[in-house]
Amino acid sequence: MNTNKNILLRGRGDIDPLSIQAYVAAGGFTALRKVSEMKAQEVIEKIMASGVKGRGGAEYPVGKKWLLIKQENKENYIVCNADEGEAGAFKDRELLTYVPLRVIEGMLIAAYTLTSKKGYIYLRGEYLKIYEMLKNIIAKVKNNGYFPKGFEIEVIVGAGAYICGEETALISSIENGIGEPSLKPPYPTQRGLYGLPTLINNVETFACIPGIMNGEGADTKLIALSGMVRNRGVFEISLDRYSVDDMINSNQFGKGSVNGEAVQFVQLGGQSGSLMFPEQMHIPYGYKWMRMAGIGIGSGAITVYSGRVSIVEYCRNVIEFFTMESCGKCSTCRIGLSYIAYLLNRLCCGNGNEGDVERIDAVAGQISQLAFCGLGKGAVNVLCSALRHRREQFLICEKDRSYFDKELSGRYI
Amino acid sequence: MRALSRDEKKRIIKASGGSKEHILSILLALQKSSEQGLIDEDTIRLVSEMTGFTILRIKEIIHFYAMFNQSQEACHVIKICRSNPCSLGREEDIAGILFSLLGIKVGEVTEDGQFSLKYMPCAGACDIGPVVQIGDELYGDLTREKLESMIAQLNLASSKEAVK
Amino acid sequence: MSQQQQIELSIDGTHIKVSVGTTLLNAAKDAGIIIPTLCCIEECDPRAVCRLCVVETNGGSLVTACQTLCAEGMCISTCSKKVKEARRFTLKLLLTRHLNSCFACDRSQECGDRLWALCNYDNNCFTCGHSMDCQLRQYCLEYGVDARDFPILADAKATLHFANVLTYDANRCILCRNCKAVCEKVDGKIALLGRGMNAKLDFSLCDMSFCAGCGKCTEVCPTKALHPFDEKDSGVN
Repeated sequence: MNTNKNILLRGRGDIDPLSIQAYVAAGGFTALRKVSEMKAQEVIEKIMASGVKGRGGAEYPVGKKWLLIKQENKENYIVCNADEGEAGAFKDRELLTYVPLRVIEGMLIAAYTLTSKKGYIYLRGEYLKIYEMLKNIIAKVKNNGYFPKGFEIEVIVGAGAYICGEETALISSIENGIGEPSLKPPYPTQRGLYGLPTLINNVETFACIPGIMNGEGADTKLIALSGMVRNRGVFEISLDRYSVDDMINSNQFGKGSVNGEAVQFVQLGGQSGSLMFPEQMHIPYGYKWMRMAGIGIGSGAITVYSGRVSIVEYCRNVIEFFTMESCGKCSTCRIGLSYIAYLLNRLCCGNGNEGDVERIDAVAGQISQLAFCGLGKGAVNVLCSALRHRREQFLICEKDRSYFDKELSGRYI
Repeated sequence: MRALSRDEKKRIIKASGGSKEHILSILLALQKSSEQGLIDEDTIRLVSEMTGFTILRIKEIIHFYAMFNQSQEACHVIKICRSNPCSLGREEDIAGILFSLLGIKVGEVTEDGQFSLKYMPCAGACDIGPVVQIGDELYGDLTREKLESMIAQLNLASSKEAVK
Repeated sequence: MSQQQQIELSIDGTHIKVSVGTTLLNAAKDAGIIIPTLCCIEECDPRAVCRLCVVETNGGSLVTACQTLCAEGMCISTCSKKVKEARRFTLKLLLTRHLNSCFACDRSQECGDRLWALCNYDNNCFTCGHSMDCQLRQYCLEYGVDARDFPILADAKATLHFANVLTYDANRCILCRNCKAVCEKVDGKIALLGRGMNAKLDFSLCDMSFCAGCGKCTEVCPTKALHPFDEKDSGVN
């Protein structure tokens, strides 16, 4: 029996996601009504007191972000970042499909609190199937009188570019079509969309807001469990209550690894996040304990990889992903990542040269400090983590050419 | 599918939002409705007139995003999700199975122009991987049997279309 | 007339006072310290794409001098070991996709650019034809990057000619996009198509005789990959 609190995904599978009536009957829009009678400062203080962190991966304190916008005391925009591009992350898709009204309620609470001019949902192009549904449900909510006067929510759909999940690139995509990141500072809270202060929060972050205003707190988190577990899916868990070990093996969640194979490593938060190794999997999953071990939970994605996988091949695939998603603006990311991909690929194909691992180390270090934006810097996180904890796996590839006995179909482009 | 008239394209542009902010959904809708699955020069000119983007900018946008076709596609383009959660350590080698069923490798087109294979980055469907996308549809929990059946159905659909 | 607020900072040990809103690059220039850059153009806002202008802050992090604004109490080093290594790294990366004869010459390590005039070696760096104007080559010599540490990661491409106005050798282009940035101020006819490694500059709109023919794009090209039309230029030797 799932003894977990069910706040974010309450109603999933039970009530019609597109029925305002059903949502209200289950307590929906109560928080919004409360907020419309509160002072903005009270709302922000309540959010700050909850300690809720951004659920997109950056973990920035949400209340603080809202406060920064309020303090600008200018016309502002609200953007819901639904460009969920991290491999292994699919929890925002779940929220938008099954409980879109909760996300919209969160955005409306922000709109009332910050007296915002207009709101946007930036939906990744790969989720095009729910585009029309979202537009319709937003119109429905507006027609039922829940919007602040003059407020609109537009749904902007992307067209396949991971970089648009980065907030300055997202803004650039809306303003002039191409998702090109720009320098921070100024941060979007100071100068964002069309030069105005812009609140950019993740889908799950907005979904947290009604619960906070209703006094339910914000200590549940969505996890997207995938990879080599028997039961994959999106679950809502209480923070600091379960370890990754628990989540993989419990009947409530993963139901054990596929074929009972030993887990080799776990990718947290998506491919720009942290790797976790068996020796760390007992740590309570949440912000507090894992930070102390130098690991972040990021977006909440948890992808499990068992012993049959090669961590070197994994890293090669990760770097290839970022090589293809790089916007190409800065030389560091554009060329540097493809150089690392080239080195990792020759390691994977049994053509490694002596010293390749050191070369990879050096290049990754430079990319980490020189890349223009978070894509480049984040791209080498997994690799650096793997080199730190499992360097011998890479060194084996350098020396032993027969390590890979199967021919890998030329994946490096 | 036949070529769209200028008026039909205008209607699509307006229905997709009409403004600069909606350029991506405008272009996606135009691509989908076009005969060859491409946004041609005339269409680009019309979009430029109606949105205010320069022709150059629209070309840059079309080249920037993965979901825009740069050349005419096969009848059925099968996009294989190549991200780690879907592909690494899986029993099923989707590209390999499709090679045995269609005789083409990723990046190639079958001789009759019916099928082509491409890779795609994460589709956000890691809970049902391995996954392929054909058109707007996503197919997950793939096995050899499922893929065989899918190819058969698509072949059937194509031959019905040809008979019309 | 309002007095612009002044702030104090130190660059390479020199204390200077600048107005608020000055970039580190300009502050250094005023103090007589030249920071290398390949993508800075006077007429345009800084874009920080080449990464060559990085400097080290007192916190030990690297920031691009062209876009970073001076702040009170900053302590910047423009030539620390970290900075030099980062610049060397960037130059080596640029060379992986810069195909030319300049580094093909196996004597370029000992040679420097003093012997060009006397060199009658067949495959010497002068056969590139643009060695004298190439800023990339100058920085490589300055930072001691005189050999290919990283392998070539690009295929040879054909040189393209446009409307008898421009010649573009994609093999030597480092995608700094200076040409595009400066054209945007005049015409906006240079396109950047694709992203990441597949990004290419496209001059086909310049072909349609909409090009103003001002030549600014060729002036700002640091490697002269883009230069006035020369039908004899066939690219990589």
